Amino acid sequence: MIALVIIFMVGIALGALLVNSKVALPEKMLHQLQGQDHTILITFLAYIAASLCLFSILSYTEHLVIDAFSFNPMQAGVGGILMGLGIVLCKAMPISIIPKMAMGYTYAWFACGGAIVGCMAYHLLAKYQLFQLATNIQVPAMHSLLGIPFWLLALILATALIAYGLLRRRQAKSASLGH
Amino acid sequence: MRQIIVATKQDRCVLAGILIALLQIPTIILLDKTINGSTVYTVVADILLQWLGFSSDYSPSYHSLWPIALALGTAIGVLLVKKSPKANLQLPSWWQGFVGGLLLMLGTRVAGDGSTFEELSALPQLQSHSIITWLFLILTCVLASGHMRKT
Repeated sequence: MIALVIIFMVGIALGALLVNSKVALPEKMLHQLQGQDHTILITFLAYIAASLCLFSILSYTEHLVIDAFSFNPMQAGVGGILMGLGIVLCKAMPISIIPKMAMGYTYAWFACGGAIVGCMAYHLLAKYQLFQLATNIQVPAMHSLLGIPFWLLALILATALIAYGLLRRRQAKSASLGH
Repeated sequence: MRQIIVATKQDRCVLAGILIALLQIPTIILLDKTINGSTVYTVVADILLQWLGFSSDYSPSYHSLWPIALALGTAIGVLLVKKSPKANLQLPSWWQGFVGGLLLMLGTRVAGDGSTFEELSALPQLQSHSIITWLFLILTCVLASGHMRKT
């Protein structure tokens, strides 16, 4: 019960962050898709860099184990295409539908209904194995392929992302100062 | 000095991204789960399927309720910093919202091969299937939005 209360409080912080950073606003997704505003992309890359650092620490302290797993490459691709079409149509990611509903956008309620129907449709269609597009393959985790521990690979990628971000920031500052 | 203290718009985005990542610490410690926005729809769909008699393998448990707690908290968090919807904005119609949501979650389930593809946390865990899914997702977004702009 305490865990649920803490998760609820995490949700409150998440909702406030999604709105304050403007990531959940529909115009931001529209402008991101049109390439006019990169608020969502910047927030996402910062999230990835911070998560890489976090998972690196958790992996180093053995709180997180990344193993080999089996997956279906064709389903991963088709899933990505369907998700992409969904994002373009409803101008939202799954995480930003609920904030949009709370902000009072009517279409977000339909998006939520569609999302639930989508899950139910998958469940019913999966019974007939309509989405079993190819045989699953066992793929070693990326760090195993490279022969280095996960925490080290995550740290290298996080450092590269942070360095790229700092470089872009410096370039933007120089450009604004007219250097 | 003021220029140094006042954060730029991009800095606020970066800070938000970092804080969202850090919010995963309690969820990982308490539930061994990372934050994602898709699981709540799966849980609600499972409950509805059971009510409708299509599925009998779902049993509400402590672990299955956390996405609902997260979603409720998110909605309340948004209401606390409420921003009114803009009136002059070109928003998707109701059918675009419905079909978009349907495709979004259908894609999430297909990519996850039965389980839910964790669109946010799968990528920093460097899972191979998430890289493929994200590549196709971005490519589709670029092509489809480019096509919609032309028409």
